[in-house]
Amino acid sequence: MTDNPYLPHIATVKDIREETGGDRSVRTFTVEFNDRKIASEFKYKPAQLCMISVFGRGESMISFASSPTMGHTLQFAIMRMGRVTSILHYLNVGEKMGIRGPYGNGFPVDDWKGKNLVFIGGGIGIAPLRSAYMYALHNRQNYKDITLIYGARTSGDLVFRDELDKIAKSGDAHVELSIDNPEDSWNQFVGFVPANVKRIAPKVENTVAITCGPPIMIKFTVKELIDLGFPPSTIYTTLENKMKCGIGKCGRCNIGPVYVCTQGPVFSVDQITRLPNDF
Amino acid sequence: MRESLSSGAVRTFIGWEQGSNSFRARPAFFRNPDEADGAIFSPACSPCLVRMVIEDLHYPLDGPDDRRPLGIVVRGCDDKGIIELIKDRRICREDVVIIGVDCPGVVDWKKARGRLENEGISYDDLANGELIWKDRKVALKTSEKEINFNPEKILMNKCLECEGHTPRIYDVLIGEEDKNRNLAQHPKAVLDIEERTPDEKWEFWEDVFSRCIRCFACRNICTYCYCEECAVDPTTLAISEDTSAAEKANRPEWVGRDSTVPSNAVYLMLRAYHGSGRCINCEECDRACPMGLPLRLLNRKVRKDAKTLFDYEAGNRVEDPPLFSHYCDTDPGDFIW
Amino acid sequence: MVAAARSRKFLPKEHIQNFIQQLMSYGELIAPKREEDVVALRSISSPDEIEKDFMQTSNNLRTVVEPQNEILLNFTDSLKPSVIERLPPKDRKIVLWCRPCDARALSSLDDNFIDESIPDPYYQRRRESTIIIGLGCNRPFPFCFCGSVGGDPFSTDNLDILTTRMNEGYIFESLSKNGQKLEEYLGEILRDGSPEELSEAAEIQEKANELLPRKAPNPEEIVADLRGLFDAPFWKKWGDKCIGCGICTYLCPTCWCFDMTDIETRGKGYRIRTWDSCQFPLFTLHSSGHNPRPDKASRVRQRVMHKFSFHPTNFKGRVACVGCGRCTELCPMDIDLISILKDIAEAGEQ
Repeated sequence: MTDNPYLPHIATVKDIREETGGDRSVRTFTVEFNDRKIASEFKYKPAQLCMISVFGRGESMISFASSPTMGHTLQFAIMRMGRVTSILHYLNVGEKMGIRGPYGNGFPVDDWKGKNLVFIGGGIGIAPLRSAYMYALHNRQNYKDITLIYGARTSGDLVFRDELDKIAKSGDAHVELSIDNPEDSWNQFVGFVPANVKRIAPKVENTVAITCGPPIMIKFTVKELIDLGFPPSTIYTTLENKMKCGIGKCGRCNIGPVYVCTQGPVFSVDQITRLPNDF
Repeated sequence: MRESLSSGAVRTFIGWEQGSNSFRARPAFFRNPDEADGAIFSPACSPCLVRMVIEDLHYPLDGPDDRRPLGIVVRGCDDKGIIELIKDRRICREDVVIIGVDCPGVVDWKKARGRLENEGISYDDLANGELIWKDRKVALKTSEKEINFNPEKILMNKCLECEGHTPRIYDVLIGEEDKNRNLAQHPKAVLDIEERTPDEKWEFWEDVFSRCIRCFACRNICTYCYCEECAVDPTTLAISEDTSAAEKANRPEWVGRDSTVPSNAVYLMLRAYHGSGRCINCEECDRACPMGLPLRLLNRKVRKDAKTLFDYEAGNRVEDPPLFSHYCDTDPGDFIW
Repeated sequence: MVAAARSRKFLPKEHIQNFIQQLMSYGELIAPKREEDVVALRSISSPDEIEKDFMQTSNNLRTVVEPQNEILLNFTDSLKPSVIERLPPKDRKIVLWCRPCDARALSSLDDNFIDESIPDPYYQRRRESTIIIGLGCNRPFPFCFCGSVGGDPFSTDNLDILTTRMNEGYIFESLSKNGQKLEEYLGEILRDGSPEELSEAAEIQEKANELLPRKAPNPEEIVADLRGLFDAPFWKKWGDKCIGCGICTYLCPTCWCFDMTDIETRGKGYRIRTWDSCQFPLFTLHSSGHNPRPDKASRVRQRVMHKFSFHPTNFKGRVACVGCGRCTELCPMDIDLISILKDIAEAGEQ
């Protein structure tokens, strides 16, 4: 992106949406680069990552929640976890952040043309998935059936809830939501996401499954998918690791010989089985 | 050692095994009686094993359900480290089974390395020789010759000021008890610096602080540095899944990751202060420092102050309360009354 | 090791003072300096500071091309930030008398930092502006094993000039364009080496390899063996002895891992790159509390496998170890890399 990959570009916050509350709250930030030229020339792939800077506090590697089909503005769904993300949550519209990127390999959305897509998300894992399913929905003719299976602990923890309801109503994709425990006005599935996957039993033929969420959810979801007959090369997920430089130089995000920031974060399950158990 | 391992009384015995050459030994963990044959005790045994007890607290050597005590080999200087750990309630006396040994002194590799040529020690001798004590002095035995060393030129500095060759607490003692325990005098090196002018002092210490590379070896090898998360070591952080975002966000950063003089000064000085009344003068910090910094001077100064201000010695008696954890009517209090 | 085509001059010992002064006028001079028991490569401000009799320096070329503290950028106001790039100056630096193994190690650092698609301008500037004068090892040191990993006490890799110490001075051999230019600059300080001097030097160079005190198992076999040894039991054996300091990684000439942190006072400050170590618990600790390498065994494994498996996999088989022996010699608990390699070789046979 620049001659010096360590220099962030300044972007302004255009919109902030509070998705969930609590200590680990989630906010979706819509940002735009200050520099017009960069804003118009910036290209990225679904589920690539950016290092977001709060100057004086540090950087945090966040995946795109927006799809490149959504114009000049970029969206990031950020969960409040620690030092940098807590300060990010204090930002107001009009304030600035630094952005370096795009990093990572992104989802191979071109390889998936002509296939059925099943997205399975848990909690904040929906963010990188949204980057991909919005891309698919905006290129609807390139893909066959699109299914979104998404769950969170409580209905208050569901991110992009309104948007998902709209997608369901439009009929462009089949949406199945779930929460862990029963709630009064909840009439969809109650239980863990892998259980929902088992119940829905998406068909295997000509289908790609993409899953993202807490490690334990991914583990059991993948198990359910394999049990349903999905070959490991058709199941994709994103791995995460602590990152600092984002460009494969600081040496910390490796899993065996592979750096998650440059050769990941997207991996297919058969790629993962060939990596050492270092994550 | 064989006995306690075969009877199953001890889960792991911490001792020494032969290291990368005849002058070096490293910690080893013996878990069954046959392994005990690999245990050695020779002038090469410089690393202080008390550190391994602390490592076991953070990274268990054995399974979590194994409640048997640890075994450890302890020299005259190490017993103070065990006593301090008991005083600070990190371990109980019953958690360790102690084999005390009579130690005439161990070598300092940095000194030895400089003597190899002078003493005519070839690399073959270095690899295949055996370091022994002869008449309580260190000697290198090879197939062809025996080289006797001048203690001052080969032993660790603390051995030259040995307070007592055998430990005061033990379950079994190998060798004869050393009845002539003498407490260390105030080290001349500290007095020498105390007498300098402030500018001279800062010139000396600024040079030391500028050479520190913040490898944290001094902290990681120290017998009193058992904190999992250290205020002045930013590479440590004790969090779990349940730690709130607010707590992580608000953790103060006392020292940065950079190795500039101000940051190094804060790290080194605060670490020494936190050792007040706990430093046992084991010299491990000096031995470990790859840049040859005189770190022990800071700790010895604090030890001296603890003695002169509070008449306190670390590692003396298990019954002593920790220095800064208790209040005594005779403590200096001019500012208050 | 002695190429016939190299220009071979002689630096008489009477000229050394002058030689050093000339170097100091050619650029910033970094040379071995005694600091009590230890000798380190430091910036030199006067010729008397230089130590001529030393084994290895505690630090290595990493301090020159990837310094421990490097400010990447300044920012003037965290809320309305304007970012000011802080590239290092292009001023010429001369490293005098680094050991050939340390120069050889630069290849591993170049592998990591020099990349056309994502360049690292900080490293690149420093690397390109540094001239390296090596000092061969007439008699290698107690922990050396460079010969086992493709090196040699008189290796010429990444050196601009190689010097060989003799009784009356140094043989001085230029190996690159930059070396040639410096040799011309030095002019009369150097003279042609006499045939006797050159043949004596050749003898020293050839004998040095035989004097290496230690041998490690064949690195190619280690790379192959490691493929199946990720879960081997001996990692815990070594991890238990480890105290988790950063010495092995901070003093290793092929290590490069770094951290990036922001320092700020009232809105103004800088982002700084500092050395980091895979041996520290925080290195891979996630904000969620999960740590992929939660114990010392996994971290010791990472260090060894990175150098003998992951790096060779990514960079055409280059093993990221030059046999300097510092990790073993300086380890406070004497964790011996060669012993670990022997464990790997033994386990690999089964």
